[in-house]
Amino acid sequence: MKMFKLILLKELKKSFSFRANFIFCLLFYASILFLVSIGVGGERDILASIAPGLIWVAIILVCFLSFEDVYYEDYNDGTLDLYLVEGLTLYNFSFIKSFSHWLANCLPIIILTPILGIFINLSNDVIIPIITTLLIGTPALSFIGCMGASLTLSIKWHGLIMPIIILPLFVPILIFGSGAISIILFSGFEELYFRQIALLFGISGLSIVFCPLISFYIIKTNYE
Amino acid sequence: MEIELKNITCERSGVKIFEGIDLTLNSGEKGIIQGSNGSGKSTLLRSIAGILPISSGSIKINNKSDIFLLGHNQAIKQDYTVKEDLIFWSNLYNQKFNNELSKRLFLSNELDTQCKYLSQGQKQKLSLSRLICSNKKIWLLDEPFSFLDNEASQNLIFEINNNCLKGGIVLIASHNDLIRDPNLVVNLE
Repeated sequence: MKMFKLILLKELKKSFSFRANFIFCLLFYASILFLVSIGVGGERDILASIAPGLIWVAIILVCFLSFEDVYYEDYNDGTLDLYLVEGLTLYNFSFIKSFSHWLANCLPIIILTPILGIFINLSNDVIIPIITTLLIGTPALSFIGCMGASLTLSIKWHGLIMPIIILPLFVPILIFGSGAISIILFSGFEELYFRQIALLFGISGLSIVFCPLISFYIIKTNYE
Repeated sequence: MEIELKNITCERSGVKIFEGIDLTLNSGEKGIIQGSNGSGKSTLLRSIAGILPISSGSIKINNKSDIFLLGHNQAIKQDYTVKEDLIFWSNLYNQKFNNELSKRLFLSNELDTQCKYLSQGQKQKLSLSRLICSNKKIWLLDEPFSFLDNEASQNLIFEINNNCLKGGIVLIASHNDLIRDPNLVVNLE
Protein backbone atom coordinates (compact mmCIF):
# COMPACT_ATOMS: atom_id res chain seq x y z
CA MET A 1 0.00 0.00 0.00
CA LYS A 2 2.91 2.32 0.77
CA MET A 3 4.41 1.64 -2.65
CA PHE A 4 1.01 2.24 -4.27
CA LYS A 5 0.72 5.61 -2.52
CA LEU A 6 4.29 6.66 -3.32
CA ILE A 7 4.01 5.86 -7.01
CA LEU A 8 0.58 7.50 -7.25
CA LEU A 9 1.96 10.68 -5.67
CA LYS A 10 4.93 10.58 -8.03
CA GLU A 11 2.60 10.26 -11.01
CA LEU A 12 0.44 13.14 -9.81
CA LYS A 13 3.49 15.30 -9.19
CA LYS A 14 4.66 14.60 -12.71
CA SER A 15 1.20 15.30 -14.14
CA PHE A 16 0.82 18.61 -12.34
CA SER A 17 4.38 19.79 -12.95
CA PHE A 18 4.80 22.94 -15.00
CA ARG A 19 5.81 21.18 -18.19
CA ALA A 20 3.02 18.61 -17.95
CA ASN A 21 0.37 18.81 -20.60
CA PHE A 22 -2.59 18.92 -18.23
CA ILE A 23 -2.72 22.71 -18.59
CA PHE A 24 -2.82 22.33 -22.37
CA CYS A 25 -5.54 19.72 -21.99
CA LEU A 26 -7.64 22.17 -19.99
CA LEU A 27 -7.01 24.92 -22.52
CA PHE A 28 -7.89 22.55 -25.35
CA TYR A 29 -11.15 21.63 -23.62
CA ALA A 30 -12.01 25.29 -23.08
CA SER A 31 -11.09 26.04 -26.70
CA ILE A 32 -13.42 23.35 -28.08
CA LEU A 33 -16.38 24.65 -26.07
CA PHE A 34 -15.52 28.25 -26.94
CA LEU A 35 -15.06 27.61 -30.66
CA VAL A 36 -18.29 25.63 -30.94
CA SER A 37 -20.18 28.39 -29.15
CA ILE A 38 -18.77 30.92 -31.64
CA GLY A 39 -19.46 28.61 -34.58
CA VAL A 40 -23.10 28.13 -33.63
CA GLY A 41 -23.47 31.85 -33.11
CA GLY A 42 -26.19 33.33 -30.96
CA GLU A 43 -28.48 30.32 -31.26
CA ARG A 44 -28.78 29.58 -27.57
CA ASP A 45 -31.32 26.80 -28.06
CA ILE A 46 -29.08 24.97 -30.51
CA LEU A 47 -26.15 25.28 -28.12
CA ALA A 48 -28.22 23.91 -25.26
CA SER A 49 -29.42 21.00 -27.38
CA ILE A 50 -25.92 19.94 -28.46
CA ALA A 51 -24.32 20.62 -25.06
CA PRO A 52 -24.49 17.03 -23.69
CA GLY A 53 -22.82 15.46 -26.71
CA LEU A 54 -20.39 18.35 -27.03
CA ILE A 55 -19.15 18.03 -23.45
CA TRP A 56 -18.49 14.30 -23.86
CA VAL A 57 -16.87 14.59 -27.28
CA ALA A 58 -14.63 17.39 -25.95
CA ILE A 59 -13.59 15.26 -22.97
CA ILE A 60 -12.84 12.28 -25.22
CA LEU A 61 -10.71 14.43 -27.52
CA VAL A 62 -8.83 15.91 -24.56
CA CYS A 63 -8.22 12.44 -23.14
CA PHE A 64 -6.62 11.33 -26.40
CA LEU A 65 -4.02 14.06 -25.99
CA SER A 66 -2.87 12.60 -22.71
CA PHE A 67 -2.94 8.83 -23.34
CA GLU A 68 0.06 8.76 -25.63
CA ASP A 69 2.86 8.59 -23.08
CA VAL A 70 1.10 6.94 -20.18
CA TYR A 71 3.35 3.86 -20.08
CA TYR A 72 5.97 4.65 -22.70
CA GLU A 73 8.43 6.60 -20.56
CA ASP A 74 8.41 4.27 -17.55
CA TYR A 75 8.76 1.20 -19.77
CA ASN A 76 11.65 2.57 -21.81
CA ASP A 77 13.66 4.42 -19.15
CA GLY A 78 13.87 1.40 -16.83
CA THR A 79 11.51 2.70 -14.13
CA LEU A 80 9.09 -0.17 -14.64
CA ASP A 81 11.97 -2.66 -14.25
CA LEU A 82 12.82 -1.19 -10.87
CA TYR A 83 9.18 -1.24 -9.77
CA LEU A 84 8.92 -4.90 -10.76
CA VAL A 85 12.06 -5.78 -8.81
CA GLU A 86 10.44 -4.11 -5.80
CA GLY A 87 7.45 -6.40 -6.16
CA LEU A 88 4.92 -4.06 -7.77
CA THR A 89 2.61 -6.13 -9.95
CA LEU A 90 1.82 -5.05 -13.50
CA TYR A 91 -1.87 -4.99 -12.51
CA ASN A 92 -1.20 -2.46 -9.76
CA PHE A 93 1.08 -0.48 -12.05
CA SER A 94 -1.66 -0.26 -14.70
CA PHE A 95 -4.23 0.64 -12.06
CA ILE A 96 -2.05 3.44 -10.65
CA LYS A 97 -1.38 4.82 -14.14
CA SER A 98 -5.07 4.82 -15.07
CA PHE A 99 -6.22 6.26 -11.75
CA SER A 100 -3.59 9.01 -11.83
CA HIS A 101 -4.61 9.78 -15.42
CA TRP A 102 -8.17 10.27 -14.24
CA LEU A 103 -7.13 12.42 -11.29
CA ALA A 104 -4.79 14.58 -13.38
CA ASN A 105 -6.76 14.91 -16.60
CA CYS A 106 -10.45 14.16 -16.14
CA LEU A 107 -11.05 15.54 -12.66
CA PRO A 108 -9.79 19.08 -13.48
CA ILE A 109 -12.02 19.08 -16.57
CA ILE A 110 -15.03 18.02 -14.49
CA ILE A 111 -14.31 20.79 -11.99
CA LEU A 112 -13.96 23.29 -14.82
CA THR A 113 -17.13 22.25 -16.67
CA PRO A 114 -19.62 24.34 -14.62
CA ILE A 115 -17.53 27.45 -15.34
CA LEU A 116 -17.02 26.70 -19.03
CA GLY A 117 -20.71 25.81 -19.26
CA ILE A 118 -21.29 29.56 -19.78
CA PHE A 119 -19.97 29.16 -23.35
CA ILE A 120 -22.58 26.55 -24.21
CA ASN A 121 -25.48 28.03 -22.34
CA LEU A 122 -25.72 25.39 -19.59
CA SER A 123 -28.41 26.23 -17.08
CA ASN A 124 -27.68 26.04 -13.37
CA ASP A 125 -30.30 23.31 -12.85
CA VAL A 126 -28.36 20.76 -14.86
CA ILE A 127 -24.90 21.43 -13.45
CA ILE A 128 -25.16 18.81 -10.69
CA PRO A 129 -26.58 16.04 -12.95
CA ILE A 130 -23.84 16.78 -15.50
CA ILE A 131 -21.08 16.68 -12.87
CA THR A 132 -22.54 13.41 -11.52
CA THR A 133 -22.61 11.89 -15.01
CA LEU A 134 -19.04 12.96 -15.70
CA LEU A 135 -17.78 11.72 -12.33
CA ILE A 136 -19.32 8.32 -12.97
CA GLY A 137 -18.47 8.00 -16.66
CA THR A 138 -15.00 9.47 -17.05
CA PRO A 139 -13.13 6.77 -15.06
CA ALA A 140 -14.08 4.41 -17.90
CA LEU A 141 -12.39 6.79 -20.38
CA SER A 142 -9.17 6.80 -18.37
CA PHE A 143 -9.04 3.06 -17.74
CA ILE A 144 -9.97 2.07 -21.32
CA GLY A 145 -7.61 4.69 -22.75
CA CYS A 146 -4.69 3.52 -20.63
CA MET A 147 -5.40 -0.03 -21.74
CA GLY A 148 -5.08 1.26 -25.31
CA ALA A 149 -1.83 3.01 -24.43
CA SER A 150 -0.39 -0.32 -23.27
CA LEU A 151 -1.12 -1.77 -26.74
CA THR A 152 1.30 0.67 -28.34
CA LEU A 153 3.89 0.44 -25.59
CA SER A 154 6.87 -0.59 -27.67
CA ILE A 155 6.01 1.54 -30.71
CA LYS A 156 7.48 5.03 -30.51
CA TRP A 157 5.64 6.59 -33.44
CA HIS A 158 2.21 5.09 -32.97
CA GLY A 159 0.35 8.14 -34.27
CA LEU A 160 -3.28 7.29 -34.86
CA ILE A 161 -3.08 3.57 -34.08
CA MET A 162 -4.31 3.97 -30.50
CA PRO A 163 -7.28 6.29 -31.21
CA ILE A 164 -8.47 3.96 -33.97
CA ILE A 165 -8.36 0.98 -31.61
CA ILE A 166 -9.86 2.78 -28.64
CA LEU A 167 -12.46 5.05 -30.19
CA PRO A 168 -15.08 2.31 -30.75
CA LEU A 169 -14.80 1.38 -27.07
CA PHE A 170 -15.73 4.93 -26.11
CA VAL A 171 -19.01 4.83 -28.05
CA PRO A 172 -21.15 3.28 -25.25
CA ILE A 173 -19.79 5.81 -22.76
CA LEU A 174 -20.59 8.63 -25.17
CA ILE A 175 -24.12 7.29 -25.77
CA PHE A 176 -25.03 6.79 -22.13
CA GLY A 177 -23.11 9.84 -20.89
CA SER A 178 -24.63 12.34 -23.29
CA GLY A 179 -27.94 10.46 -23.16
CA ALA A 180 -28.18 10.91 -19.40
CA ILE A 181 -27.52 14.65 -19.67
CA SER A 182 -30.02 15.00 -22.55
CA ILE A 183 -32.74 13.31 -20.50
CA ILE A 184 -32.26 15.76 -17.65
CA LEU A 185 -32.08 18.72 -20.03
CA PHE A 186 -35.09 17.95 -22.17
CA SER A 187 -37.45 15.51 -20.49
CA GLY A 188 -36.50 15.76 -16.82
CA PHE A 189 -37.52 12.11 -16.47
CA GLU A 190 -35.45 11.09 -13.50
CA GLU A 191 -35.99 7.33 -13.66
CA LEU A 192 -34.58 7.15 -17.16
CA TYR A 193 -31.67 9.36 -16.08
CA PHE A 194 -30.83 6.99 -13.23
CA ARG A 195 -30.99 4.02 -15.61
CA GLN A 196 -28.43 5.65 -17.88
CA ILE A 197 -26.30 6.52 -14.86
CA ALA A 198 -26.50 2.90 -13.69
CA LEU A 199 -25.29 1.72 -17.10
CA LEU A 200 -22.43 4.23 -17.00
CA PHE A 201 -21.61 3.07 -13.51
CA GLY A 202 -21.49 -0.52 -14.76
CA ILE A 203 -19.21 0.35 -17.66
CA SER A 204 -16.87 2.29 -15.38
CA GLY A 205 -16.87 -0.49 -12.79
CA LEU A 206 -16.02 -3.13 -15.39
CA SER A 207 -13.32 -0.90 -16.87
CA ILE A 208 -11.73 -0.25 -13.49
CA VAL A 209 -11.55 -3.98 -12.77
CA PHE A 210 -10.73 -5.46 -16.17
CA CYS A 211 -8.72 -2.84 -18.08
CA PRO A 212 -5.69 -3.02 -15.74
CA LEU A 213 -5.92 -6.80 -16.06
CA ILE A 214 -5.80 -6.60 -19.86
CA SER A 215 -2.95 -4.05 -19.64
CA PHE A 216 -1.16 -6.49 -17.33
CA TYR A 217 -1.20 -9.20 -20.04
CA ILE A 218 -0.30 -6.76 -22.82
CA ILE A 219 2.69 -5.31 -20.93
CA LYS A 220 3.75 -8.80 -19.88
CA THR A 221 4.00 -9.88 -23.53
CA ASN A 222 6.46 -7.02 -24.06
CA TYR A 223 8.74 -8.72 -21.55
CA GLU A 224 8.55 -12.13 -23.21
CA MET B 1 21.73 -15.79 1.61
CA GLU B 2 22.30 -17.51 -1.69
CA ILE B 3 21.74 -17.24 -5.44
CA GLU B 4 21.53 -20.53 -7.28
CA LEU B 5 20.96 -20.88 -11.02
CA LYS B 6 20.56 -24.37 -12.44
CA ASN B 7 20.83 -24.99 -16.16
CA ILE B 8 18.89 -21.90 -17.15
CA THR B 9 18.12 -21.18 -20.78
CA CYS B 10 16.59 -18.07 -22.22
CA GLU B 11 14.92 -17.70 -25.61
CA ARG B 12 13.37 -14.63 -27.21
CA SER B 13 11.26 -15.05 -30.34
CA GLY B 14 12.78 -18.46 -30.99
CA VAL B 15 16.37 -17.19 -30.69
CA LYS B 16 18.49 -18.67 -27.88
CA ILE B 17 20.12 -15.85 -25.92
CA PHE B 18 22.00 -18.16 -23.55
CA GLU B 19 21.66 -21.75 -22.46
CA GLY B 20 22.77 -24.12 -19.73
CA ILE B 21 23.94 -21.46 -17.28
CA ASP B 22 24.82 -22.77 -13.80
CA LEU B 23 25.83 -20.37 -11.11
CA THR B 24 25.99 -20.37 -7.31
CA LEU B 25 26.90 -17.41 -5.14
CA ASN B 26 26.80 -17.51 -1.35
CA SER B 27 26.86 -14.74 1.24
CA GLY B 28 29.92 -12.53 0.97
CA GLU B 29 30.75 -13.59 -2.58
CA LYS B 30 31.02 -11.62 -5.78
CA GLY B 31 30.71 -12.89 -9.33
CA ILE B 32 31.35 -11.47 -12.76
CA ILE B 33 29.45 -12.14 -15.96
CA GLN B 34 31.58 -11.60 -19.04
CA GLY B 35 30.76 -11.72 -22.70
CA SER B 36 30.69 -9.69 -25.86
CA ASN B 37 27.91 -7.31 -26.81
CA GLY B 38 24.63 -9.13 -27.26
CA SER B 39 25.79 -12.25 -25.46
CA GLY B 40 22.97 -11.93 -22.92
CA LYS B 41 24.65 -10.43 -19.85
CA SER B 42 21.88 -7.91 -19.23
CA THR B 43 19.19 -10.48 -20.01
CA LEU B 44 20.73 -12.87 -17.49
CA LEU B 45 20.75 -10.21 -14.77
CA ARG B 46 17.16 -9.19 -15.54
CA SER B 47 16.12 -12.85 -15.46
CA ILE B 48 17.77 -13.30 -12.06
CA ALA B 49 15.95 -10.17 -10.85
CA GLY B 50 12.68 -11.79 -11.92
CA ILE B 51 11.80 -9.26 -14.62
CA LEU B 52 12.29 -11.52 -17.63
CA PRO B 53 10.99 -15.08 -17.78
CA ILE B 54 13.41 -17.94 -18.47
CA SER B 55 12.66 -20.75 -20.91
CA SER B 56 13.97 -23.59 -18.74
CA GLY B 57 15.99 -24.26 -15.61
CA SER B 58 15.55 -22.82 -12.15
CA ILE B 59 16.56 -19.70 -10.25
CA LYS B 60 16.65 -19.87 -6.48
CA ILE B 61 17.18 -16.75 -4.39
CA ASN B 62 16.65 -16.87 -0.66
CA ASN B 63 15.54 -13.31 -0.15
CA LYS B 64 14.10 -11.80 -3.32
CA SER B 65 13.12 -8.57 -1.58
CA ASP B 66 16.81 -7.89 -0.96
CA ILE B 67 17.66 -7.55 -4.68
CA PHE B 68 18.88 -4.29 -6.17
CA LEU B 69 19.16 -4.13 -9.95
CA LEU B 70 21.27 -1.52 -11.69
CA GLY B 71 20.18 -1.71 -15.30
CA HIS B 72 21.26 -0.07 -18.55
CA ASN B 73 18.36 2.36 -18.35
CA GLN B 74 18.68 4.52 -15.31
CA ALA B 75 15.03 5.38 -14.63
CA ILE B 76 15.83 9.04 -14.15
CA LYS B 77 13.05 11.59 -14.40
CA GLN B 78 14.12 14.90 -15.91
CA ASP B 79 11.95 17.08 -13.64
CA TYR B 80 13.32 15.73 -10.40
CA THR B 81 16.31 17.07 -8.53
CA VAL B 82 18.92 14.52 -7.44
CA LYS B 83 17.68 14.80 -3.86
CA GLU B 84 14.02 14.36 -4.83
CA ASP B 85 14.95 11.29 -6.85
CA LEU B 86 16.90 9.79 -3.96
CA ILE B 87 14.14 10.57 -1.46
CA PHE B 88 11.55 8.89 -3.70
CA TRP B 89 13.59 5.73 -4.18
CA SER B 90 14.68 5.65 -0.51
CA ASN B 91 11.02 5.77 0.51
CA LEU B 92 10.22 3.03 -1.98
CA TYR B 93 13.02 0.93 -0.48
CA ASN B 94 11.61 1.61 3.01
CA GLN B 95 14.71 3.58 3.95
CA LYS B 96 14.99 7.08 5.27
CA PHE B 97 17.17 9.48 3.29
CA ASN B 98 19.32 11.49 5.66
CA ASN B 99 22.34 13.78 5.59
CA GLU B 100 24.63 11.10 6.98
CA LEU B 101 23.74 8.89 4.06
CA SER B 102 24.36 11.72 1.60
CA LYS B 103 28.01 11.86 2.70
CA ARG B 104 28.49 8.33 1.35
CA LEU B 105 26.77 9.10 -1.91
CA PHE B 106 28.53 9.45 -5.20
CA LEU B 107 26.73 12.71 -5.91
CA SER B 108 26.65 14.47 -2.54
CA ASN B 109 27.61 17.84 -4.10
CA GLU B 110 24.84 17.83 -6.68
CA LEU B 111 21.84 17.07 -4.51
CA ASP B 112 19.93 20.17 -5.64
CA THR B 113 20.74 19.79 -9.34
CA GLN B 114 17.89 18.91 -11.67
CA CYS B 115 18.39 15.53 -13.30
CA LYS B 116 18.04 16.95 -16.79
CA TYR B 117 21.34 18.81 -16.28
CA LEU B 118 23.30 15.70 -15.25
CA SER B 119 25.95 14.21 -17.52
CA GLN B 120 25.91 10.48 -18.34
CA GLY B 121 28.52 9.87 -15.65
CA GLN B 122 26.51 11.80 -13.08
CA LYS B 123 23.38 9.85 -14.04
CA GLN B 124 25.30 6.64 -13.45
CA LYS B 125 26.41 8.02 -10.09
CA LEU B 126 22.78 8.80 -9.26
CA SER B 127 21.80 5.20 -10.00
CA LEU B 128 24.63 4.02 -7.77
CA SER B 129 23.55 6.46 -5.05
CA ARG B 130 20.16 4.74 -5.05
CA LEU B 131 22.03 1.52 -4.44
CA ILE B 132 23.56 3.01 -1.29
CA CYS B 133 20.16 4.36 -0.21
CA SER B 134 18.45 1.02 -0.77
CA ASN B 135 20.44 -0.80 1.93
CA LYS B 136 19.89 -4.03 -0.02
CA LYS B 137 22.27 -6.94 0.10
CA ILE B 138 21.99 -8.66 -3.30
CA TRP B 139 23.40 -6.37 -5.97
CA LEU B 140 22.90 -7.14 -9.66
CA LEU B 141 24.96 -4.54 -11.49
CA ASP B 142 24.90 -4.17 -15.26
CA GLU B 143 28.03 -2.36 -16.46
CA PRO B 144 28.31 -0.34 -13.24
CA PHE B 145 31.61 1.32 -14.22
CA SER B 146 30.21 2.85 -17.43
CA PHE B 147 30.88 6.61 -17.64
CA LEU B 148 32.43 6.70 -14.15
CA ASP B 149 35.63 8.62 -13.43
CA ASN B 150 38.49 6.95 -11.57
CA GLU B 151 37.52 8.25 -8.15
CA ALA B 152 33.90 7.10 -8.49
CA SER B 153 35.08 3.71 -9.81
CA GLN B 154 37.30 3.28 -6.75
CA ASN B 155 34.40 4.32 -4.50
CA LEU B 156 32.21 1.73 -6.17
CA ILE B 157 34.83 -1.00 -5.74
CA PHE B 158 35.03 -0.06 -2.06
CA GLU B 159 31.23 -0.26 -1.70
CA ILE B 160 31.14 -3.64 -3.52
CA ASN B 161 33.81 -5.09 -1.23
CA ASN B 162 32.10 -3.54 1.78
CA ASN B 163 28.78 -5.16 0.84
CA CYS B 164 30.48 -8.55 0.47
CA LEU B 165 32.20 -8.12 3.85
CA LYS B 166 28.76 -7.51 5.38
CA GLY B 167 27.49 -10.79 3.93
CA GLY B 168 25.93 -9.45 0.75
CA ILE B 169 26.18 -10.86 -2.77
CA VAL B 170 27.32 -8.91 -5.81
CA LEU B 171 26.93 -10.09 -9.41
CA ILE B 172 28.37 -7.80 -12.05
CA ALA B 173 28.03 -7.84 -15.81
CA SER B 174 31.09 -6.00 -16.99
CA HIS B 175 33.59 -5.66 -19.81
CA ASN B 176 36.47 -4.42 -17.69
CA ASP B 177 38.50 -6.18 -15.02
CA LEU B 178 38.36 -3.64 -12.22
CA ILE B 179 37.01 -6.22 -9.79
CA ARG B 180 39.87 -8.19 -8.25
CA ASP B 181 39.57 -11.80 -7.10
CA PRO B 182 35.95 -12.53 -7.95
CA ASN B 183 34.62 -15.76 -6.48
CA LEU B 184 33.02 -16.69 -9.77
CA VAL B 185 33.38 -15.77 -13.43
CA VAL B 186 30.66 -16.70 -15.90
CA ASN B 187 31.55 -16.40 -19.56
CA LEU B 188 28.64 -16.06 -21.96
CA GLU B 189 30.63 -16.29 -25.20
